[in-house]
Amino acid sequence: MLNSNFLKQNAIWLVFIAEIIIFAIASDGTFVTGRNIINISRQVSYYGIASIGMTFVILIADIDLSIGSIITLVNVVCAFLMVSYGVNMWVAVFISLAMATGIGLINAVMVAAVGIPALIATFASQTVFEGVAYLISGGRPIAGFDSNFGIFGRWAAFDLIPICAILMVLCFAAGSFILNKTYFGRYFYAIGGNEEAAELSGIRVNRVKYLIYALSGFFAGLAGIVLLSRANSAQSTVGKGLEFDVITCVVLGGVSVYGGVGTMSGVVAGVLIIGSLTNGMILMDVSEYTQMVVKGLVLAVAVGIDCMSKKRQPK
Amino acid sequence: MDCPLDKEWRPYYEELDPHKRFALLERLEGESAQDGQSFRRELFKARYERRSKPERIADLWLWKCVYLPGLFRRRKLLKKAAKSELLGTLEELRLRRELSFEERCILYWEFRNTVRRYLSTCQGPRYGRSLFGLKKATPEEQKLRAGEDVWKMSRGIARSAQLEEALSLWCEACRDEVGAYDEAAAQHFDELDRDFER
Repeated sequence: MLNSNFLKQNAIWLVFIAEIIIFAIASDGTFVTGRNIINISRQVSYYGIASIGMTFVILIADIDLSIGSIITLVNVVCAFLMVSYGVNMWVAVFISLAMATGIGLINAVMVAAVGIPALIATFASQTVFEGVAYLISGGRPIAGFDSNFGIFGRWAAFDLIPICAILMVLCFAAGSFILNKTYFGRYFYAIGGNEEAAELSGIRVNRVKYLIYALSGFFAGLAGIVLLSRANSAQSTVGKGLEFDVITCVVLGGVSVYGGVGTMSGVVAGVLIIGSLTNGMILMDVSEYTQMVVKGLVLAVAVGIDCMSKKRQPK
Repeated sequence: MDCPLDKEWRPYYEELDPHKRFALLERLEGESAQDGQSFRRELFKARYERRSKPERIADLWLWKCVYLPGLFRRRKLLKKAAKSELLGTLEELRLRRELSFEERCILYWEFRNTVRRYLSTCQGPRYGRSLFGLKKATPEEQKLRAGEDVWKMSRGIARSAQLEEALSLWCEACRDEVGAYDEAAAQHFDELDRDFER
């Protein structure tokens, strides 16, 4: 039954369907070809993965601006280890992910232990680690990896489904499991809803924050590995501005900027909308600068809707 | 529910700190000749004692106040889980038992103390922040949000799970406490209840 409640609950998916129809018409069907859909799934995979960690952070009413620079640093460090030191691909990936998780923990120490506002703390680490990436790479691209490294970004299962898309789905499943089936997921919502009450009720809020920022770093690192594999070359500018795409996906997916509200399925929809929007605009030959304008407006509208809906009554 | 509060027990139900409450309980139990002492102690244990770590005081009922509004928001996604969670909550809050009038009164005041403790946390700088923690909420916004939270943890979740009767004592205590807390918050609570009906 199509009633107003149904429309309200599934608005995000209806927007996604409307977007597909519009781009399909505007591109004379090119947008909905199998090849393009596979292309979109590849394109969204890395910021889809990164958006999982960001979801956790925004759920506790914080923000992580360092995601873009973690992606860049992982990109550069992993490539550097493999090319300059001949480190085994899996070892390099492991070291890079451990480093990304460590950066997340550094953010957590600044936010939870020192008490620096998340925006400032993660902005500072964004600047620091972007600089570190430049220092390691010298501003030059790093290429020449083991051909097997393509598994994370270029290979496809049965020559059809990109491995990176499968990885994204698995990460979303894990994220959804954490949120809905574990105590930690409950703690994320509780801290976002009322941090002081959560603390008084016996939750060790700072420990949960460490976990959240570590997960955010880890997922950003994994996104960096996927991006590196896809591009087959590391660049010290690759993650610049990516955090805004990720934040847009998460907020568009219904995760409230007030904290404590949001689901992983909504974030999946947000990721698909932004991915399709980017792909559709590329197909329609929209310039990169216009794309930035459109994405910025989408973020402003998504946050605006969230703020306005908060002023109304919950149904 | 018409539950008069005995004058000598008033400080016990007004105090929010668990350690001070325990000291009061010890003292008042010795002085008072009233019935229901063991029930009070049982409630104290049920509320504050974590089974896995009895030495560490937690407020398990306050946790319900924090958790239930979140469960209300996700009730459509977690239909079955929400229902079983609520049935567990009924057990923990001693609402599935046959209680005498006096025991119901003791439970009612314990609920009010729990909600009062929750409301006491709704005035801090972190409560009701928005825009990724950048914008602090005004006191008025905090009161409205507190009213909304209390509605969600009581009438909201009870009505959406059709457990209004089983949770009636809890809901009543929540409404009475929010009424004592702030008029605007109580009004918001009632508005939400009316809107839900529609």
